Amino acid sequence: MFRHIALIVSLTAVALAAGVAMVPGEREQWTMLVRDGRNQEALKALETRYRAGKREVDAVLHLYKLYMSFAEIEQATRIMQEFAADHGDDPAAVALLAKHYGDVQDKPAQIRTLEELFDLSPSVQTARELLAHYRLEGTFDREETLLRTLLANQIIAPNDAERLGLMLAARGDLYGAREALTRFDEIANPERSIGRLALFDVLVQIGDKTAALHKAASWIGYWRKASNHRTAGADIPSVRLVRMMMAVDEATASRLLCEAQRTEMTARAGDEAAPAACELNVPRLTAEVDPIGRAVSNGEPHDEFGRRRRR
Amino acid sequence: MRAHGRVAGKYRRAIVPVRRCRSNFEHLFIFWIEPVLSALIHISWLRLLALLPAATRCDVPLRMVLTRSALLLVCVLSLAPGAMAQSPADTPPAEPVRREILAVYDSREEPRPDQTRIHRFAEMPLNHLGLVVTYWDVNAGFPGAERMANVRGVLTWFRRTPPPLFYLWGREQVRQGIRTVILGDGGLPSGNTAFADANRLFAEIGFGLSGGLVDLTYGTRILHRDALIGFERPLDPVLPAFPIVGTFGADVSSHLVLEHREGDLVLASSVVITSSRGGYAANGYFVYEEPGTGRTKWIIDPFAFFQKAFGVETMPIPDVTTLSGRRIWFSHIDGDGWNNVSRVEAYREKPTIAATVILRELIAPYPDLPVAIGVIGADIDEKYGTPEAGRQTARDLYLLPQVEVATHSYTHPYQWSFFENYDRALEERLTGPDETEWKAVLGERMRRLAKRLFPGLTRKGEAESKIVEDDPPRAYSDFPFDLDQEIRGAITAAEEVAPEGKHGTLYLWSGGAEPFEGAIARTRRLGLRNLNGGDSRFDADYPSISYLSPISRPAGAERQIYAGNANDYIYITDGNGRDHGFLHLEATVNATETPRRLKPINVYYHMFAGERAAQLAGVRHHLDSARQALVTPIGASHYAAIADGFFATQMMALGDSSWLIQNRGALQTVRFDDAAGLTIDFTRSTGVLGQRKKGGSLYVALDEAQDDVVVALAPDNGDSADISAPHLIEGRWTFRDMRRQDCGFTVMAKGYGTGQMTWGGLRPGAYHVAVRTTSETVWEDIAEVGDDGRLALTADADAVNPLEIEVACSDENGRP
Repeated sequence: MFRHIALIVSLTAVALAAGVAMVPGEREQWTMLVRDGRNQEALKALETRYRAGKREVDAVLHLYKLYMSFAEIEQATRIMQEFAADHGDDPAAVALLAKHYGDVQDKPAQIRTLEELFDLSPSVQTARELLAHYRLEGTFDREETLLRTLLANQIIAPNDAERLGLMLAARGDLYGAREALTRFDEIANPERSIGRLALFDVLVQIGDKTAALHKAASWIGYWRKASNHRTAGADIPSVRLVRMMMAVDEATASRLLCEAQRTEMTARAGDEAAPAACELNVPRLTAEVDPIGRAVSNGEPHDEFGRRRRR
Repeated sequence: MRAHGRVAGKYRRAIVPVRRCRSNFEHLFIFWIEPVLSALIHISWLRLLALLPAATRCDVPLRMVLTRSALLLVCVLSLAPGAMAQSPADTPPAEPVRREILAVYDSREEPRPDQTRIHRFAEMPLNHLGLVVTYWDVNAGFPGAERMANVRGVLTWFRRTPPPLFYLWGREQVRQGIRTVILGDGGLPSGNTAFADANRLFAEIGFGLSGGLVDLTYGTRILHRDALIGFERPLDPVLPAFPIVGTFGADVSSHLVLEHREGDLVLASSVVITSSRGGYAANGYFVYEEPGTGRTKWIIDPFAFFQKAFGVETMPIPDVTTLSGRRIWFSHIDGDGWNNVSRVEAYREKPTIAATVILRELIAPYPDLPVAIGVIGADIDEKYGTPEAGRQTARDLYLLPQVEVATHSYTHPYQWSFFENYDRALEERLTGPDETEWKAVLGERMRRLAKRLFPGLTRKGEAESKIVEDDPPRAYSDFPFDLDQEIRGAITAAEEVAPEGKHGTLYLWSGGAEPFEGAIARTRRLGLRNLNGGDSRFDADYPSISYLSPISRPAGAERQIYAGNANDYIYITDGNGRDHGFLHLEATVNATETPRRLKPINVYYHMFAGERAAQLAGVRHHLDSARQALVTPIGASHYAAIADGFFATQMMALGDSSWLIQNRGALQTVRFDDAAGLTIDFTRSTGVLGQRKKGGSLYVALDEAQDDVVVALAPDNGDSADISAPHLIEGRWTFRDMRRQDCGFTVMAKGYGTGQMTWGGLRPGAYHVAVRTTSETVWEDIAEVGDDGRLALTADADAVNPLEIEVACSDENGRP
């Protein structure tokens, strides 16, 4: 009898304990509400937890999503700002805040946050977003600062390096331009000519003619090949470069060009067939100077907005 | 032209004394007599006066009489031509105002007019200046003199070299006085002869190209720039490549001049110019495109540039943004998602379709805001297995007085062009199942799994591209496409669920909203207005007027009227999806009001907004805002009619700052820009209801009851009380048939919500205001007019049906 009673009591106790254990906790409650689409109730439950200081990441993010689902932008912004402040060292949290500002079209706040994010964790993606904004808005000083940072961090893209170089050259910062354009020269497609012509010019202007001529001689082979594909009537960058070289130092330029030609022919025909002497043979070298002298196009295709088309 | 002449003759007698044209013979006399022989005439006149008494005396000898008579005859004869040549007034002859700009495009690059850069960028600013853009394919020969008779200017934006004859034709047009604007230089020919031809055309306009291009621009400096430059974006520190452009003629204004040095060589280039013969802007110097995002901004001020280049001086500009002195507000709903079950929590207990939610949340509570509802025919057609709830909701919606009956097609074509040359077999291939059921299910599960495991595979912007890629040609393709059913059938389906006598008025284009000419023509033949497309926006994500569409889209000889603003779908599919996105319409509404009113307010959404709380909240926000704003709410079909009126309007300059305006249809506002010192001269104007200034513009309200009106301007001395005629300043309703009386006026009114209105030009004192239907007075009040001559009142009456308003001087007891 006693054993029966003990069994029943213990079973009852176990059942009670199990029942208590099976009552959904706070967390389980709101997840069930969200799952069932009972968003108003879920919002109340999550806001209560949030006010009580229970700010688990997933709960906060769900609270944010719920506010957005009711188009309560101010509340959602408050939650996301506090979330980013609580996780100030976490780039993911700052990125979420930036995305939120983008979603609510608060452009100044979005840009400010992206700048913070870039400071916290420099990345090409963040830089790209910032650069697009700076360029569209015409805030060129901020664009230049960011480009300099990208250059210093060695994560600059060829187009950006070229642009930075040209910006600095336009401002008269020839040494800065040299650095950026040299980087451009290192990483850009060998056929790209504008940045390299600018680099040549910048090197000449700062008195480093030897470097300019040697660099030019190293480009000329690629540009000759590229010129084979140009349409009739278009000006040829290689010809233009040769003119620029000859204007700087005719003797050295001729020598370097001959060497380049010889190397090229050797590579084409093998060592045995390499010519002993070099005869400078540059197409249209003696062509008439066009009406505006050297200030001519290299014939790179442009779209209707004046941008160089991608190849 | 002939029509202009006839009407001008009518108004010469009736309204304004317009001087008839002199014959060439008279001009000859004016030339010789007035400047050279005026002294002789004067002498003759004096001699005549002296001779007359002498010649009529009786006591003079016959010989002397004959002599004096002969002398008298000479004097009289010498006076006669001079008398003929005297003009009654120095008013110039009436002249039609040319509003047409012929956009010459190249179909090899841009197949259709609505796909051209001119349509995308330039047409909106040109419309804002009151100009109508028509298109001509440069590959289709060149328009003759008859076609060009009413053309004000020619505009090109070529990328490819046009046929050589274009330059010869263009040159002839400039010589004929047609201003020509060249945007970009991408289409310049490379051959010497053709280049010389191009330069001959350019020389007529006032510039010439050397053929050289500066692409290393870091040595270039800006020699001169004016206020035209840097409109939305400053010049880039890395200047785009530019051609060497010289200018010819004293009338040429260079707005941006660049100086480039190459050693000792100094080159100056005018990359943006205007002249009295047209204008030019070099590539890269008028529109900027951000390379990473493709976002665009204007570098030059397109309004000022086109105004100068096309010589747009003070003239009435047909305006589609304003009515009764206030900004136009209208709303319409595309029926997409009509029968979708709402997920809004308040409707969870009993599944409710989205259309019902919209009815209960956004339509019924706002009787003061009209809305056109375009149901999709198939959505309420039992044949397609749709629920009865959808049909019942349609009946309930159309029963409401503020709801206009419209249609959003029958089977909801997504790609209208597909149906221009319809091929049923092809459609079946496109829409037929290409997977067995189990394969489809398995495939979908695998796709979901892949997305969960590799979320990076989900590209940004997938939502937008997916819809285009996966869309079938239309939503309901069970039966073969039939254009008659798509147009007539659709409006009939809507009318069938509308109360008797309430007719369909509007066709709302579906899908990509790019209907072909035949489809638009079909709506016109049924007397329907048409609307949709354009997707205008101007906000933080699209921060430029280059994202504002023009008034219409050309399709052959037809015009599709664009919606005023982008719809909710555009906003909610921004980024990775933003249910609340429609709230951002507010940014566009604000940006298109100040500094220029460029667009009306158009709250344009879909029935699926009833599915989600955030989307519902977005629309509700705009409806609540409309109640607070000083707007004139009108039906969407009314807006479409106003837009049609923009293109139909003809104007004649009558001289002395007055214009005759005809064929304007439903368009009832003209605008004068830069009008700070101008006001309406009500004594010389006819059919003018009122005026209101906003910024530097003067908005003139015209009387719908008069087909032809004359608008005359006078200098504004700044004292509004000086305007003697009672006139409308602004109002929420629309007004017509105004009759000014000795003291007060009567006018008919119609509109939505309470009748807020302000009148001016009244004499100070007490006025009795009565608002009447045909049978009774529904509202009346006594109002006091002060020294400013203004009467502001709010008539609390229902004006969905026309009311008469009488404003009359009253005695101390309030009796008229």
